[in-house]
Amino acid sequence: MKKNKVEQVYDQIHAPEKLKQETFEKMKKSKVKKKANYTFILSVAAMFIFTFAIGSLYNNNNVIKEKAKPLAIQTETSDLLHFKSTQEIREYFNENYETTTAKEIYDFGIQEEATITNDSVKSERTESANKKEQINYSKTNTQVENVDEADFSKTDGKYIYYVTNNTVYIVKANDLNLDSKIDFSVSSEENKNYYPSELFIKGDKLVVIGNYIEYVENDNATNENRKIRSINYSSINTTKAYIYDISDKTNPKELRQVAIDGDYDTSRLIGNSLYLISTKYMYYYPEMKDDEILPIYYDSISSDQYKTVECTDIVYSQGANSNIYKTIGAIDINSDDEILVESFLGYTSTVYCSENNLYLTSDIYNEGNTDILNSTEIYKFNISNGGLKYVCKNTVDGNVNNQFSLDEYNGNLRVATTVTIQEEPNKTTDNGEYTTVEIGKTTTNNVLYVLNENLEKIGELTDFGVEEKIYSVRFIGDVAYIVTFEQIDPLFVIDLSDPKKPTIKGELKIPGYSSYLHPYDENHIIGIGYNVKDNGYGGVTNETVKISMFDVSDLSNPKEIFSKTLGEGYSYTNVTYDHKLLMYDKERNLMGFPINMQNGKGRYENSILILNIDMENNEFKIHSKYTVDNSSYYIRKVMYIEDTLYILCDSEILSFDINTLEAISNLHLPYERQDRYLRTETVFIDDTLKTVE
Amino acid sequence: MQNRNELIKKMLDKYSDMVYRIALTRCNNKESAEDIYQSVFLKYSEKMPKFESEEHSKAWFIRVTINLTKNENASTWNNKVVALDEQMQFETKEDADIFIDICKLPQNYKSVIYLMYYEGYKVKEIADMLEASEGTIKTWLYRAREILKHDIIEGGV
Repeated sequence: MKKNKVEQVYDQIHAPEKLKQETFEKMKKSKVKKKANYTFILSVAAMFIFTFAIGSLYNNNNVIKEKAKPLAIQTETSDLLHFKSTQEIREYFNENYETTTAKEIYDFGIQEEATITNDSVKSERTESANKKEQINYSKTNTQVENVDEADFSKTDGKYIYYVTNNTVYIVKANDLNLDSKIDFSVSSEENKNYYPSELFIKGDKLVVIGNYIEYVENDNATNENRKIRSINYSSINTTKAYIYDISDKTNPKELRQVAIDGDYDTSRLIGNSLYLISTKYMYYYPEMKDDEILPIYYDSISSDQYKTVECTDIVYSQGANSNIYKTIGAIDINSDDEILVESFLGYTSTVYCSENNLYLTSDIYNEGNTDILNSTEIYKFNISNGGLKYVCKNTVDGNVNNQFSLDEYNGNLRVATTVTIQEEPNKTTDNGEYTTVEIGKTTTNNVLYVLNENLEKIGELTDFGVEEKIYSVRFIGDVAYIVTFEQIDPLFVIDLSDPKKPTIKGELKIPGYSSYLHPYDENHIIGIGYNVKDNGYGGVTNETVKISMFDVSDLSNPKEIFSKTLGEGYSYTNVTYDHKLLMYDKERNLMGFPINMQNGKGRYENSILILNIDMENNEFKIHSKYTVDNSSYYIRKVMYIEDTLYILCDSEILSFDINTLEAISNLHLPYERQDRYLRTETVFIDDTLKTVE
Repeated sequence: MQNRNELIKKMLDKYSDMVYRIALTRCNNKESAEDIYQSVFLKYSEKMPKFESEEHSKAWFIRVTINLTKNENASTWNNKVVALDEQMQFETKEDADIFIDICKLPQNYKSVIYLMYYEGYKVKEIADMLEASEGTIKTWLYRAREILKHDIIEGGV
């Protein structure tokens, strides 16, 4: 039998023999560890759920909990319903279990892509403490002012907090002294499977967020399909946050651990209110015990055991049959109130959060039913004053690109979507071995909706960028800037001053596209994207990173006043899908981000590029470039504090003078788990670039 | 009862390439893939789970590899693809292109492509392994093929 191409390719990949030998030696030396405490969790959970947990939830009269209560009241009048008993949940799952899903989830915003969500910046969060001292430093490039987004590194102007190699490092910025580190891989047996990925800093509190995997022996699978199913029970995956008191930087004190069921999606910090969002796929089968079908959570403040979310705290929408639990946890990091947990059944991919409302969107794939293939359910939760209250939901056509496709302004929610329209039906053939879907012809269209506070449609603009897809969106006050793309990049300028009647004011067509739009000032927007070339398969391939300055002072006549192509042949930057990687210093007119470019020898280099935005001479000038010619050593991010630039690498932090570009100091970040991959290369400033200029 | 070392050797021989391929595809980076590879097999030797069938053990290794690579730093994945392009050697340029294109896909898409077209799993089985509904898997597959554009599917089978 002829091989398919995937087989042909993968047949050429083999694990290196040396690696295999090395692993074998390690395996022989490793000790069999005691059975993990799965049975313990189940039995404890079973004991607790119906006695302690439910009791405590109701008796615990804390402020947050109170605020959350209206959820139950609301749902009676809305189309999102609460379960009344575990039996109801069982019936819900059973229905799914027996029938094939009518509505299928079109979730192309899976976990990985959720982090890929693009773009943007606006917030200059003012912290009173720093205000006094007037320290000028990098803030995380967030979408909404006052709504902080977690990142792998943050600074408060004096210290740098950095998560890498399963360790949190607290580094004094002025001399790069490692004040302390929290190494999860060695701290305890329990923490060994904790993977911290992001953090928040708020005053003296440090919040570390990541995935926690508890491996458990599976011994309760008895049904005929256990072979594969049972694998689902070989681990318990939770999204876990550790809260530390860091008033003494040399000795962070763990105050609290909280966890919610499922893999970590994203989080927000508004004031002292931390919101965690996670996804868990529920593999249901009828033999499951009652406590196994409910999502779990954990809060060290109230108990050292997992608790289950009460069935009355789980909402679902009528008609949707999803086996995915989305869980939101709300924690006041400064109080002792127990975590507030709400779960609902339904997959959501994009999270947009304003100061008062949290919006989750669920991508729906309407297979075969209509011409319009995709639609989006938007769920609105009120989170003002640290509460968590479901408000309402609605459905619009099309899918959103990322969090920047949504924006709340004057009580209205503006949403930009790309609609996929089926022109010819799909052909599905199943030869028993492979299911082959021959994709029918589709086309796309874009829509901008204005929804009121109850998510009712009050205005819409349709049919712009026909046969193109939305690549980036930025709402600035009454104006929406939308980039759509197929072969050429139109930048649409849409006037929303009358929310009932959005109108296209201007349109600009230039080659390539921008996938991240950053406001520069009231008259200018910076676009970061790519030049493209035809890929020979009817699409396009990204070629080089392109950065553009758009003049939008005249809405009806947007202009690209200057642009710069970065690198030759091929270049790539992650900032186009992770807006938090952008360093932006308005005062000095500097912006910096990681980029991959080919060097003179044709090799790819991973660099940090810092550009000077020169509005007088209308150009982006290269301020400096920090590079390392080693493909397995990564420069991840740049930040600044006053006159010092900090380059964050996999296991090193380096500092440079922002004016003279002289190296000031560097700190190797030690970690103990995988010493054979410790790297010692040092980043250097690329002088050759000056001549390229 | 089988000697532990024999069992370890047997499992390592059997799943070495598979674990490496999945790890490499999901990490886009040789060093990380090697770390993951070691972690997966060490996990096995520390747990010594009892499997009922070959299918069961295979699925266990796939699941654990996928679980461990979930926490691969997503923000650097594309950098790594570029580096990987230089590290890997394939017979033809086309093979290399296909591999790199697969690596550039979002994690779940490429896992589906690998599991379906290399390991030959059915949609249902992949859905169970990746903890997603069959509809979701089909959608990932649809999206992945839409992005790939190569006629990798038609090339045989």
